[in-house]
Amino acid sequence: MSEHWHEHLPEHSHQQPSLECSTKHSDPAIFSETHDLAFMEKVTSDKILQALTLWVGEIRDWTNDNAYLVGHIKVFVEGQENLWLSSTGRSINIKHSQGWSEWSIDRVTLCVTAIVFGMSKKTLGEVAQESLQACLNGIN
Amino acid sequence: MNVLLFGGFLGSGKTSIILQVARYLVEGFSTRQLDSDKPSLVIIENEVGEAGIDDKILKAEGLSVRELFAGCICCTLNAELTVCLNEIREELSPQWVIIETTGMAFPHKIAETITKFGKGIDSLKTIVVADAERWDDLSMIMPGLLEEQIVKANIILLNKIDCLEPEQISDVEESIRRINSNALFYAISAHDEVDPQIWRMAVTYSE
Repeated sequence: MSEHWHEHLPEHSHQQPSLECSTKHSDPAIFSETHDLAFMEKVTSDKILQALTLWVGEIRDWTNDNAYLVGHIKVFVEGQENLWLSSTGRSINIKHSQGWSEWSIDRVTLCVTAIVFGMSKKTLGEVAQESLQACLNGIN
Repeated sequence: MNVLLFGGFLGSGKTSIILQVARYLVEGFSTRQLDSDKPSLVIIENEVGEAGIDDKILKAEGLSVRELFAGCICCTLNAELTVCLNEIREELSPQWVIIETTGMAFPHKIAETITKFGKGIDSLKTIVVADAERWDDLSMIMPGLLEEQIVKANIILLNKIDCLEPEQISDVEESIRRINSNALFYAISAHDEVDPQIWRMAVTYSE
């Protein structure tokens, strides 16, 4: 078995030599959540876009300010229309389905993932969660 | 069953590229097998994080996707991946399977496992995506990881060249060539539509 300097998740084991892990990198912190959002009244897709772009930008800037390394930051809004945001710590890429711009929403599923090297999962989780909540609160 | 195994660091653009390759395969070949409603292209997504995003992006395009979540981020469910691949062969027997590994995986190690334990595989190509925009930074911060991802790739796609000047692109290509001089090499920007000839060369390439 190859040498590790990180711990594996308990459900994962390497029982055969050919299936073993042999990397020697440090694990990044991962923040990954799914939220079913319901709004008091219909909001425009542009408001959702602005709020989530703000969140990606805040995580990116906080990561860069603290000299951490962004693996990636991704957002996917799933509904009748879809929105996809991504950043590797520089610009924010925005893609959406054809009818996104004309869409009004009262219910949507939001998936977010941020992978960052150099910090603990707890720290990333606290910062990302607080920032996400603040950005979503700005929608209503 | 022809397998395209995609690797490359986090954020390098694997999913964007897979979307284009999948479209190319779907347009070039029938999406459904002639005598059934089974898809002729299946994508296996091995993602990090509880909230899968890449699989949803691909599904939103109407593609057939199997997800593999959790597990060790680096070797990324090597055994489970092989089991999944064999199940897909038994249930659907598609012409094409695209596997998107996590950004921390070593594709050649997964390829070794698939070659050894995978069933009914006619061809297997390892395609590694390198991030032109972050190449200098990443090769300083984690050179070992990048090198091992690239060293045994059959095809290397240097993505995001729209972020660099031509002479910078040449420097990155030279740096990549020092790691792997045997692979087919293409410099692309998946932000735009890539020349389909590149996808044709990539999927039909044989050593």
